[in-house]
Amino acid sequence: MMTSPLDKIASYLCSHQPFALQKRVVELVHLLQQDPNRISSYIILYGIPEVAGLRALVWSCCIRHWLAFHRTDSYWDGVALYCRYPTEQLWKDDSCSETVDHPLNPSQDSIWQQYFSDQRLMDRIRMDTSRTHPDWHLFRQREPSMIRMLFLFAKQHPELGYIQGMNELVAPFVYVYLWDGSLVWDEKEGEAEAFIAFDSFFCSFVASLYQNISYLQEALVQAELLLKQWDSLLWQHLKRHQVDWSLFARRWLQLCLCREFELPELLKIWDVLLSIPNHSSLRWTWLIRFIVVMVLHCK
Amino acid sequence: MSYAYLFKFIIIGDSGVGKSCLLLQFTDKRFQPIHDLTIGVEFGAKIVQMDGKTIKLQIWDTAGQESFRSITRSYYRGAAGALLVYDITRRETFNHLATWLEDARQYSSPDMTVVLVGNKCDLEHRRQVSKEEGEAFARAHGLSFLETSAKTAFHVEETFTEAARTIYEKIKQGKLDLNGDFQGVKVGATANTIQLQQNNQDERSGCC
Repeated sequence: MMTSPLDKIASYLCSHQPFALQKRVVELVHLLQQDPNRISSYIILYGIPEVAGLRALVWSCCIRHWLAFHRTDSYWDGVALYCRYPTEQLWKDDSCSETVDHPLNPSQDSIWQQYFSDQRLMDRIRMDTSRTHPDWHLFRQREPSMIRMLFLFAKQHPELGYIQGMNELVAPFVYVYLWDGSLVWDEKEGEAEAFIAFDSFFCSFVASLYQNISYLQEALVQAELLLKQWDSLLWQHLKRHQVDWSLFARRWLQLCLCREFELPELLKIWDVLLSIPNHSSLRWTWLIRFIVVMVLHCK
Repeated sequence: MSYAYLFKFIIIGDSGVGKSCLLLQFTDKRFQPIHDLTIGVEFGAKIVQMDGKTIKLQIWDTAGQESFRSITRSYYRGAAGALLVYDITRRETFNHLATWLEDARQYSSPDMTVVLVGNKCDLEHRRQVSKEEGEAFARAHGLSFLETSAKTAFHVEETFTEAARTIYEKIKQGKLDLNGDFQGVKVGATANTIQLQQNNQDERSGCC
């Protein structure tokens, strides 16, 4: 029987695990390669087996699979671009050789102005990464990675730039790829994989919520309608007491529940979220239903 | 808990000036050196007493970043008071005050009470904005002004009660139309009974 690189990595990851667990991993990896459309229903039913590194592998496969719908440049092009973007070195060559340009040059074209504006961007990002999961040592250690990823993202997507909340959304990727996934990738590869995963997740899924307020409003209206449909008594109760739960739901959606659950639970939710195909807004439907269920659960 | 009045407050200002920390210090009397980033809006509430009346402050703590500005604007409506916060150790947060105020004036009721707050005054050695500058800005725009420290709790209580008192005085003087457009103040059960009792007495005296 032919074994793919994915099979090899998977069997390496679970080589010391009990046989039953190994069997589940083989099943999952097989499905990933043969029938990715069924992966979300599999994960909803069984979850991703708790084997270090496996989650990163599954996320990457899912993202790579759904990525095809949204990106024209290949996966590794993005990684390569990222790797040759060492921000500290970027300005050294240009600025020294240039005699006309200097740090006090007020012109917008000045490479120095660009440099200062980049520094300000970096400062803003740093201010937020330092308060991302403040009580997790891992994230203090990985702050440079987070800053690099968010900075590059802002540079590559000037229409979005850096938006608060991205720091929260990047954190699960940092955990999964740079900590849990360190058996699969080395430091550099892991960071690049995490970046690509974050990039495609944000652009193909979350960005619309930040770019277009009406999109968010529409999602909130849908959630409201669902609640009315599923539990009209609760809906009436909230209405009567003028509880506008969309004030909270807005953040639930914008952060994909990052603040609502502790990381271990959040990852399980994201397992499902990432495995759902992104076309025809299936993911949104799922997430909107999820937040309505959260409200029902609080009843 | 029944209250005579409910005041809606909103806290605005640049990201990282300490809005959430001010709120936490006011409501919980504690300081969290590294506070989570506020996304969208968060809420706090506290009961204060004024002239023997119970007043509930409902405080909306907003996100500071530019990209949330359009959402923040929708929260101004129906606010009785606003705390406009800057960081005395970062001049740019002071420089942005005019834009914040412009927004606040445009999207809120003209009767909204605004208090200017220069936060982090415990960091005297890193001060970039003098107290005089803060005072001058407040004077020029008709705001009250306090320097605070969410860390040491210096002037935190005073800031909120000062704003509440100003609003309360406006109500007493009949400057706020509580039954009309102004939504920042809700009249609670206890305030109603006081009014009703007065009405009853009036009727009785009319009868006799």
